[in-house]
Amino acid sequence: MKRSFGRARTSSGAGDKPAHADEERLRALHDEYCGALFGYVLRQLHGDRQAAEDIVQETLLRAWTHPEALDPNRGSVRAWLFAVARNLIIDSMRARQARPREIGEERLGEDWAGSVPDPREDAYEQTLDALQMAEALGSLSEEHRSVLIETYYRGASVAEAAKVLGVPPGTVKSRTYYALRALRSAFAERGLTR
Amino acid sequence: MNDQTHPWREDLGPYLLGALEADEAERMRRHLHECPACQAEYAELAPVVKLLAKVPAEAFTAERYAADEAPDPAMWDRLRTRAGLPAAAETPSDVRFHPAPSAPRSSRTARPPRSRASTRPSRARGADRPMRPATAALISGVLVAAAAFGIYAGTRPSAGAPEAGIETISATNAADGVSGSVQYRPTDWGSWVQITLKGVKPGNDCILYAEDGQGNKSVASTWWAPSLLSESATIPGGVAMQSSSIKNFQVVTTVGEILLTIPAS
Repeated sequence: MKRSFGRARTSSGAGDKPAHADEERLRALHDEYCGALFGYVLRQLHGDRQAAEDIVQETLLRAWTHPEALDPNRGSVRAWLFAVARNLIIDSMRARQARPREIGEERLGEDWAGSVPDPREDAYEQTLDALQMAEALGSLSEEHRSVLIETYYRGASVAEAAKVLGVPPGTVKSRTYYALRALRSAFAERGLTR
Repeated sequence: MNDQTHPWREDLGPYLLGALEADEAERMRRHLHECPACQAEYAELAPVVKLLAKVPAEAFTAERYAADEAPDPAMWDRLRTRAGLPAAAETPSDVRFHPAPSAPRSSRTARPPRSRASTRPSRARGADRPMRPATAALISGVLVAAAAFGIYAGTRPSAGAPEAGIETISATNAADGVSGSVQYRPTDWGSWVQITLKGVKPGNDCILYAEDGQGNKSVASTWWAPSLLSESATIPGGVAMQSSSIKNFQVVTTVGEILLTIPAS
């Protein structure tokens, strides 16, 4: 319907087509996150460039096809992307262990199709997981999120975090406690903890 | 228990996150042994800390990566292909392969387009059988384009304009052992295209794209690689693009691997 193939597009030459908007969205994702994601995934995979590229592409494509994950009001985009990439890394490592090399694709397709669970279902769940996690982080106040990022993800001590955030150490302590409580409520709402 | 009156409560946060100094952590640990209220609090919050690990720390740290840890510059092109851009955005997932449209007839050609029924019917997968779900999802957009073309060509079977001759161009990808040539010529609906390709790994599903100078890309045909590596396949196709504006052809697998790029002369 909105597709018009080459002719109309060359004559109009405009960048306002929905297809162009889609492409720009993907381009923006690629430009902003591709480098950091690739470096991270490559190290996790001990330098397997092809597998790393595959995972980074898949991660960016999932973000592209889940625009709701990219709404900055709903969470940290970066957190979402890295969580998805991490899941894919774990999947690919499992797949390598589980799958004997010598069995050809063709046979896998024919004989195993019935016995192997649909991989899409798994992927969907994992995407949701990652999305919920990023949302939960994103639902925190900026104060709570930043204190968790400093202490947990960046490994800062209370004193170091106090310096970075410009608040007294006592405030860092109480904020981490309340941040964890707030996160617990957020997880509970999403069914991630009992 | 009242938050304000229990002095240990707020140390529990940094304790769980590993942010306390060693002596403070030790004091907290001893206190935990004797305080049921703090034990209960600890039990509630420990799983939360565990879930934080779902997001890798790299999401929040500014890691420095060496030059050889940077992605390949051509990755964007492959990502774009894999996304089906610009030929696919809405993709019904249940589209199936349609027989490729036949080549339009030319009235004057010295070399008529060879229409030896090119694709190999011995393939295990029948033409009307659904594809593997993953593959189907990936290339369904492509198939919509192919199907649309099929309808168009089918309603106007002799619409090919024979004004210009056939161009033949070829290329080799030495690294992957893939080689092939493309023949194409203008018609009044776009360009008739036929590719002959050799050395594609069996099991690959392929897409032929035509690209113009403005970065517009259209699908010219899709097919399954022959079941033997040594076999060559000739696949007819077509594209809604003027022959004169085609800058190159590209053969890509449905998982985004670029097999061959054939520049137009």
